Order: sequence, then structure tokens, then C-alpha cells
Amino acid sequence: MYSLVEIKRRIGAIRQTRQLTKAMYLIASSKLSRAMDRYRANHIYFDKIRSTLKDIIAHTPELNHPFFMPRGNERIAYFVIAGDKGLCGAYNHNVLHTALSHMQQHEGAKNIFVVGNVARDFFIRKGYNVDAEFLYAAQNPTFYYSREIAEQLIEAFSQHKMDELYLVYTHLESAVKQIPKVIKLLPVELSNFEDIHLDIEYRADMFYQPSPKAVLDLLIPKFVIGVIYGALIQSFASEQQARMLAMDTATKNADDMIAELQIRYNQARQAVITNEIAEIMGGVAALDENR
Amino acid sequence: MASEFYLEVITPERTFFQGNVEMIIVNSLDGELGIMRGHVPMVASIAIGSLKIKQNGKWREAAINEGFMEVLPDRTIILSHSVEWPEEIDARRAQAALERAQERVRQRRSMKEYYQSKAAMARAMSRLKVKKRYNID
Repeated sequence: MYSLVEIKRRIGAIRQTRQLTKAMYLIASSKLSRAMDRYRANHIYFDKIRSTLKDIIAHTPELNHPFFMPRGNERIAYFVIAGDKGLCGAYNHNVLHTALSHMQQHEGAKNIFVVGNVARDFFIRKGYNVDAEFLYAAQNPTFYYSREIAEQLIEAFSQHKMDELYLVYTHLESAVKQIPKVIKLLPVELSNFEDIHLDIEYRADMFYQPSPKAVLDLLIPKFVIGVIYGALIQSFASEQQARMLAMDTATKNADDMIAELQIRYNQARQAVITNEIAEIMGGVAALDENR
Repeated sequence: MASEFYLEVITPERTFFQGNVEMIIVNSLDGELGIMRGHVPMVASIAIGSLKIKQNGKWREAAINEGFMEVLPDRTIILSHSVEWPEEIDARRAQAALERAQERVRQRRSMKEYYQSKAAMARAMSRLKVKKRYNID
């Protein structure tokens, strides 16, 4: 049995931690509500731009454009989105290990672009070279940042510094479920869009205004920017959700621990009192005998 | 009653427009393009400029950023980075952006920056134009 003072000190320590987790929970939930607003506004665009592109590819027999040409898979680039901080359950772990297992299945040189401190540290620890970090984008995904990121990635692709480009992010499946996902961004192929179901079927070829090349020159960068922006937003919302859940569990655990320690404290206090009474009674009895 | 088609205008930040319309006019890379029901399936680039929508016999106009659209016989999807109604445009901000872009063009930096500044100028000017045409204040 611990002494009274020790139990009291432990309860104090746990209370402090509980305050911390509680505060983090509140912060995450307020950030989440903002992130969800953005997500709701964005996910239509995110889905639409991908289904539109799929539709275009499906209805255009030959696409002679550098963005569509398979180049083999000698040099693969990954763009991985994770968080800046830990304490968010398995969020970082899930997305990073999805990326890692995908990388281990493919041989050849790898270029890694990351968002988030945790992602950078993870790949360095695993012995990979991180080519570029976009550390500012994890906490505040804006359209402006995604354009900057997309421009760098497209430029590297156009200069033949990579053969394939994959995006690894956390997909927001529902309010309680997040799934890490790998999407192939470049080159654009029909197989990149297997998860999208087209709602209209028709059999005519597409007509391009002014020309296929001019349209695709504009469309593909917009597509990449749009998808990256969507992925950043979904990852951010997923992170807040994961953190909220983790901190909620931590707070509940702290409550349980405090309750248990409180009982032990009461027992110990009772034991001390009983002990004192016994001593006093003993003393009185001894005095009586002496009389 | 003219025949209608379904139009969706979507930006990364919101769904700008959704509904049945009679006709739209956009600026493509080489000139204005009018779309009505039954158009041949087409993908077109959209240049910075204005988007005119005719719904229930009335025309409305919005400032639109670069983007593209997919036209199908009975529906059209426009995807662009930003689209704004005249009442949503902040004329002062657009004016400031225009001046900033002009200043950058004057400084003659790299070719890439020159194109970016030109695009920023075009965006600001199309916003101001649409704003001026519909709001006198």
C-alpha cells in the first residue's frame, strides 16, 4: 500500500495530464469543425475532377501527350502527406507504413516528397533520402500552397526526373474512419481511376477545343493541383479526427485512473484513522490497567 | 420555353452553380464559346474572363479563372479554381492585385514570373470588368 502523500501526488500528476489531453481534445475538435467545412466544400471538386478526367481518357482513343506516356518504373516519386506532430493515435503510423510497404514492393530509385515533420523524420530514420519537404502545408492546407507544390512536382516530371508519381494521403471515409490511400498521379492512366464509378455511359469520342494538346496542357496541371489540394484537406481533417479520438480516450483513461486512485486514497486514509483510533484505545486501556 | 441542360460549376472551395440553364457563354482559349443543349461532346479550356449563364430567360455574369469544362449533350461541368458573382467581388482587392501585378511586370523578372504576373493581371481585370458592369457603387 502506498502512503497517503504518494497517492495524493500521483492523483495531482494525472489531473495535470488530464487537463492537457482535455485541452488538446478541445483544440482538435475546433480545428476539425473548420477542416470539415473545407472538406465538404472541396470533396465535390475532388471527386469531380477525377471522374471528369477518367471520362475524358475513356473516350479519347489515342492520347499522344507526355503526361499520358508510360515511362516504365525505374524512378518512382512519392508525395506523402502526414502530420507535423504526434499524439494523434495511429494516423501518422498508418499513412507512413502504407507508403513504406508500397515503396518496398517496387525496386529502383525513389524520390520522396513529404508534407509534415513526422513524415520527414520517419523516412530519414528508415534510410531514405527526402528530396523536398513542404513543411508549412500540414497545418494549414491552402490552395496557394497546393499550387506551389504541384508546380514543383510537374516541373520535375516534365524534366524526366521521375517516371511515376504516387500520392499517399489519408482518405476521409466517414466521421470515424480514415483510410490511408495510394493514388498514382502521373502519368495519367485509366487504371489510376479504378475506384471511380462513372455515372453516365455514352459512346462518342471527345472533341477538343482548341486542340487536344492545348486542353491537356492546361487540364493535367489543374488536375494535379486539385487532387493535391483535396488530399491535403482530407489528410488535415483526418489528422484532427484521429487526434480528437486519441485525446478523448486519453482523457477517459485519466478519469478511470483518478477514480481508482481516489478509492485507494480513501482506503489508505481510513486505514490511518483506524490505526490511530486503535492506538488511542490501546493507550486508554493501558492507563485503565495502571490505575 | 427553350430546351435546357444541366450545368454544374465547381471550384475547390465550393459548388458555385448547379441547375438547369438554357445557354452559357464562356471564353475559351481562342474566343467566346456558346453552349446549348445537344452540343457535341467536347472538352474545352477556359480562359480567364467571364462566364455568362442564361437561366429562365435571364442572363447573369460571373468572373471566372482559368479552368476547363466537359460538355455532354445534356449536361456540362465547369471546373475552375475560382468563380465569383459580381456582388462577391472585392473591387478594392482586385484593384490592388492589378497594381501589384503591373508592378511585377514592370520589374521584368524571369519568364515564368512574367507569365504569372500577366495571368494575375488578367484575373484582376476580368473581376473589375464584371464588377463594374453590374454594380455601380
